Amino acid sequence: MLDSPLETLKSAVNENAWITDISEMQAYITEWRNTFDGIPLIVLFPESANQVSEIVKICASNKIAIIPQGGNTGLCGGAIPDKSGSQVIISLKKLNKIKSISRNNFSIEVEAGCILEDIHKKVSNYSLVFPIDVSSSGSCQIGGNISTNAGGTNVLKYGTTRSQVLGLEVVLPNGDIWNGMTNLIKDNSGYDLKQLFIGAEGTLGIITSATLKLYPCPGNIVTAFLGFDEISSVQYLLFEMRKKYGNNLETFELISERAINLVKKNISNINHPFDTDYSWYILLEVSKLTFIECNDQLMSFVKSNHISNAVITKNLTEKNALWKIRDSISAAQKYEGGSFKHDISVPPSKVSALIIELEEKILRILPTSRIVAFGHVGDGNIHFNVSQPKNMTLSNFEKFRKIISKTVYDCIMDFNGSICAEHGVGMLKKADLLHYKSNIEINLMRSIKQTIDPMNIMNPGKII
Amino acid sequence: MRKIIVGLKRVIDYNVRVRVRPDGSGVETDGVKMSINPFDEIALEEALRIKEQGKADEIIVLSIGASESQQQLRTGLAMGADRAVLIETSENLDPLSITKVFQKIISQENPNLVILGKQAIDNDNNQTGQMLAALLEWPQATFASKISLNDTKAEVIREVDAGLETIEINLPAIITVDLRLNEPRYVKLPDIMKAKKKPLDVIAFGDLDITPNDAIKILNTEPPEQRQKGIMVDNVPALIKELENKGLI
Ligand SMILES: Cc1cc2nc3c(=O)[nH]c(=O)nc-3n(C[C@H](O)[C@H](O)[C@H](O)COP(=O)(O)OP(=O)(O)OC[C@H]3O[C@@H](n4cnc5c(N)ncnc54)[C@H](O)[C@@H]3O)c2cc1C
Repeated sequence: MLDSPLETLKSAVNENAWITDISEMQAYITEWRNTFDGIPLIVLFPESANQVSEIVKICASNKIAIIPQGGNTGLCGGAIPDKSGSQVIISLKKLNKIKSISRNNFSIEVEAGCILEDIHKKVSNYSLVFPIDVSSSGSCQIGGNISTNAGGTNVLKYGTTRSQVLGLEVVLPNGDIWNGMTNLIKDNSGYDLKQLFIGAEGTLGIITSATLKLYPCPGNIVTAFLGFDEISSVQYLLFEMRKKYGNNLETFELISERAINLVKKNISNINHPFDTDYSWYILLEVSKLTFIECNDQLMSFVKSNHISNAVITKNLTEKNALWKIRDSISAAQKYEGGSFKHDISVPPSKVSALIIELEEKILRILPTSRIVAFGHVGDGNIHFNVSQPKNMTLSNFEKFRKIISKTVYDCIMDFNGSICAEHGVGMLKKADLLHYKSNIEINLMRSIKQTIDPMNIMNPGKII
Repeated sequence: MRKIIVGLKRVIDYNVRVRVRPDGSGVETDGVKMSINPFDEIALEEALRIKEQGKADEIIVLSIGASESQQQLRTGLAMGADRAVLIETSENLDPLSITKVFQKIISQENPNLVILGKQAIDNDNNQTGQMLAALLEWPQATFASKISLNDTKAEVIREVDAGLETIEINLPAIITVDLRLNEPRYVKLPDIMKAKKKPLDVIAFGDLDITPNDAIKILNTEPPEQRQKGIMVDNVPALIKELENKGLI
């Protein structure tokens, strides 16, 4: 008698490297914000690209849908199965070896399941940096970062994850293993295939390894925290800092007063540097600059009335305390009821104009809503979140979801921006993507998907 | 004038993962973030609070070390110290030599109080405060977690193994501070500006007429044995199984 697909799948991985009992699956079937959950047939933990390939072949011949999963920190439902009980989650967490570091090439070869923070730690031993950094770096995997083309706080200087990928190894939807693990900076031999899989959210194949760029440590960095009241100042500050410090401008993160107040209220051990409140704050980092030079620069901003106050950190403990504020914003909002999240981008020069217009429009629709705006404004990316009013039930608030998100996205279109800046599409924004992208774009995406995954088994129902 | 002297040592930042040089000659400091020894920062913060309560008139920060230590002294001035003195030396002086430098500066400045960190986090010697009290024949209160002053006396709560001990000492005195005494302030812009105008005197160690003590030589530096990496288990049964496998339960 032939084994059932389930039994064949189990035999494709090491002993006990699978879960079928739903009570043990929780970490793999619900998303961080509890916005999505699903019921899979099985969760599999392969330990090599060959095992991944084996699983995919079994799925392909049985037309079983595959959900690739990294650290499950994604925010758009991309790594979550449907509720049919028929889809297979392939967790990459056991493919977690750092294969090699090439100090002369400034590159590293890693398996897809490496935790981002482990990569940071490893390369720091060589005085090198891998620049992709997100608040979830203790749990997310490099394969997930590549598949979502993650952004984070260093994009201004280094670009998104896409800019860090030199080569990939990918298991294709038919089970073939494509070895594209090159270490080349220039390679124009035809279409640049790796680009297809970067940001594809697992819809075109499963990334099993990657070659990534490394950079020398930027050395001493000064970290400052600026307080000011007029959002329009952000434009002046960003322009001046970029002009003057170019690539040494490492970080330029905007935080609103409400975001900080929620962090102070809901997160313990927060050390707010100012005695007075300001409407806006910027977390600023510049390399190759001294404390005194930074001070002089910031004083000139005070003189021109673009900032009201600033602190410059004197040690890493203070720097970490400021980063803790920035990194806690998402978590702090969880305590405040429902929140409509918008991960949007515009050209960097338009950030303040966009925020002003959005605030006005949203408050006209729901004056009691609490807007929490923050983000990587140095690269034009804003997290524009609208939190539940204090005196409104969640179900009543939910009635506003459609109109508020439509207002935000329509406004973004007027600014020539993007409705998915760094978190991707997943299930969350699938309908919006269809609505806001042109037919030509949607058709091109569909034909790429059709060509690479004709049976639609690779993360179906995501993106398009 | 009621003066307080505070010692500020430049050390590798507490948050840096310290690496030993491959040849064992010490630890890597190239391109490594340097900061004020955290206990010294707490000492300075306490001095500032004492001054803000009107119980001191001038705070002098003193550092002994390479020219780069000026950065840490400037930071101390930005926090609110009134002036700074650097005793410049490229030598790695031992605690007794450092203590003699303090003794010399104290004899010139006549402070009512000297506040030091309980130890520097680089060599963890925990000696300077105690030896200084001995050389000066001043009272001392070590490991302070609370300090209350009046004109002639200090009441100090000390963190000792058995708990907390409260003692009273006459001024002038040496106090060394522990972690829980206070939380140092951030430095804000106008203060940094003001700090640029405050005096920072640099004196060569050689001009002090102190013979360095050479009783201690550092022969070799080795990293500690690497701890084995932990593993993550998915649930309690898996944890129990792992512990059983290792024969721990
Ligand atoms: C607190 C917090 C802060 C965050 N901050 C940021 C931020 O600043 N910037 C940012 O860009 N994102 C941010 N994110 C989102 C998230 O962390 C990133 O999207 C991350 O890159 C996802 O990695 P992951 O391993 O968790 O992927 P998962 O969530 O497991 O998967 C994400 C998508 O990638 C696919 N996938 C995962 N691994 C593979 C693989 N090996 N091959 C093929 N497909 C794969 C999945 O199918 C899914 O579609 C944040 C999330 C949290 C919880």
